[in-house]
Amino acid sequence: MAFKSLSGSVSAPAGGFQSIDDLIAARAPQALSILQQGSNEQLGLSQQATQAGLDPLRQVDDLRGFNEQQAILGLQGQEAQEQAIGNIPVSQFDQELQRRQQQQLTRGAAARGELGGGATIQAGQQLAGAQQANIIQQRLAQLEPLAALSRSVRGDASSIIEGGAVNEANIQQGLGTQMANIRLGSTAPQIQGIQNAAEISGLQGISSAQQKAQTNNQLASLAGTFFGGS
Amino acid sequence: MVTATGALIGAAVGSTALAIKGQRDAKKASQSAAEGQRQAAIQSADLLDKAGKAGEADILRQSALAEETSIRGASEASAQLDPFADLQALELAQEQFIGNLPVSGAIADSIRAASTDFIRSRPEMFNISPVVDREVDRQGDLSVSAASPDFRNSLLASGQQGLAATSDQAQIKRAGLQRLADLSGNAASNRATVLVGANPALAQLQASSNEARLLSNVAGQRANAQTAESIAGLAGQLFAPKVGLLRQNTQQPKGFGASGFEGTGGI
Repeated sequence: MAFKSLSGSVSAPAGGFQSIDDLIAARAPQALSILQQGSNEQLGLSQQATQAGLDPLRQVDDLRGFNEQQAILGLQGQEAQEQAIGNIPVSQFDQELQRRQQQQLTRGAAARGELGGGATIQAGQQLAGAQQANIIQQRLAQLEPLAALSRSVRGDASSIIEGGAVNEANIQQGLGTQMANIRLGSTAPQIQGIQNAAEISGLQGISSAQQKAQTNNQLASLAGTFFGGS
Repeated sequence: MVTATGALIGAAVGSTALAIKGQRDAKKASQSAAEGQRQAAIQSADLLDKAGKAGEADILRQSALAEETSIRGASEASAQLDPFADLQALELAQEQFIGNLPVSGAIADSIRAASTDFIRSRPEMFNISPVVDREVDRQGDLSVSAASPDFRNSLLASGQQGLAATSDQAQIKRAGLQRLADLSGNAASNRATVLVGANPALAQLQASSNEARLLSNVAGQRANAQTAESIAGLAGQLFAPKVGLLRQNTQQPKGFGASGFEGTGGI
């Protein structure tokens, strides 16, 4: 008797099962195989889900703004800081604004006849220092949201990776427990089969012996009756 | 008379032998059945033991894989935050705030340079004597000092970001270790469950084996009793009529019995 395939991947042997015990014994490896296959698929899908979550984040994962911010603040060394400050792009408008502010200061001083005076020197230096500080602060202000964005992207990626790994680890550990349960569970009918076979065999022997004993008793009784009655 | 007695004894012996053999066969069959049950119990226990060991191996292997995955996941998750997890900015900001220090490094240099260059790059406007030159330097330092609070705040903001990332990494590490502990605990619990789970079945097998042994003993005793009963029965069947005849023969010549109490209710 051939049994129908239990799933797409597991089927009965070509000659069919010889007995129910064979079928029971064959079920455990089949079940384990199905379980392993299902678990592998589950792991694969979990990894795909993690990848699907990470792909769009990787497209926007850009640390340039953050790195420049760190460099300007002097957190990547002196050389990097000098280079970063030297490379701060200043718009034409800002350059023109600076030039005009400085020109206004010198022209005003000249008009007042104070061009070489101490107050003009002090005011000029304050203006030029503030202008440079402003350029750096403006750049830092531009970089700060970019750095926060990068931090947010990396934070999300981190959570997705961590969650994915937790899920995968749970699948892996769950598989071990399920496999152990199947192994133990499958022994119950096998043990029952062994016990039943032993019981049937024993009962057959006892029954046969009892039949013989009964026959012998009857023969002995017959002999007793025959000889006893004579 | 001698021939009849011989035939009677022969029949008695033969019948008894037949009866005894039948009972012995029955006893053997019962004992064989009990032995079969015992062997089945041993085979079943062996099967259960193998299944338990294989199950335990499954649990251990899968737990090891799960632990590996968990460690890898925590490590990769943490690595994402590595660029941000830097407390240097926070430490620098703390130093500058506590000491009320001016900003230093290339930021300070560039502000100072811009301030002093405004004068030194215009010699046609400013007559820079050594005294004025020193004052220009001093004004340059003042420009740096004036701009310092804003830069300290920027440094602190960056430090806060670094602190948050470091804290997140610590959380990831803590959660990773907690998961490892959970995985180990679950593995131990599952292993114990697999081992203990086999106990009821093993106890059942032991009970079944003991029961078979008891039944075998009972069967043996019953067979002995039945044998004795059969022999007694046969002896009764065979010899009772003869004994009756002998009694009749011995009583006949005495008429009303030797005791003289027959018919009066005596023995």
